[in-house]
Amino acid sequence: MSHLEHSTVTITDLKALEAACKTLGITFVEGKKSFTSYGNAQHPCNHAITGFPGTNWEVGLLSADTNTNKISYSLAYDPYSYGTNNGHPITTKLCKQQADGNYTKDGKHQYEHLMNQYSLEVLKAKARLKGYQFQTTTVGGKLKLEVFAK
Amino acid sequence: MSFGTQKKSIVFTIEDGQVHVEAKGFVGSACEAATKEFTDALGGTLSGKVKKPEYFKKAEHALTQRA
Repeated sequence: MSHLEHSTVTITDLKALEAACKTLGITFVEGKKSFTSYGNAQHPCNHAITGFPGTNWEVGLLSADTNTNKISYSLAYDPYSYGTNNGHPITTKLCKQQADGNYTKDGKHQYEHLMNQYSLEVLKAKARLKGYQFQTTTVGGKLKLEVFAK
Repeated sequence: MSFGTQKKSIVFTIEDGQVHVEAKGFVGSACEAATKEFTDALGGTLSGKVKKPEYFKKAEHALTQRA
């Protein structure tokens, strides 16, 4: 295992995350207690995501400290690809911007795709809960949700 | 929370892992109550807030009444 990176996002709704993963064609594995990184090393986590584009390994959800009553999660993953062992440059990262400030060529925007879809699912769930009608559209790559009165 | 009788809506635009919120048709601070329950559900940090002219309508009315 080389190293792990942690995102700073807040995920609190696992149902919304599961729905987001399903839409993106990846798998949320609730209750998976370890995720795989380079060399098939196992790392403890609370839940995991498999089949995530932009990484050869799994993504782990780690519960984070929070001041609210909700449990929040951060994402952890091994950003190195198989090519690293052969001295190939690292190109696969989940985040849009790499640590050196450059944008990724492979796997770009995957992290944002997940968080976009997660946010949409959270908002839709809230609208349903409140009994509000809503309409979802995609405009220029942006997800748009309009929530109306009953 | 009620949207009232006027056509009111909240538009969420989601891009790059961030959510932009726009309340339409609200007067005064009602828009904040309407959007808060949604932004709270996102669990993130609200980075900024810009009040549109409609927000100040109720406040202006109140000042007029007192004058």
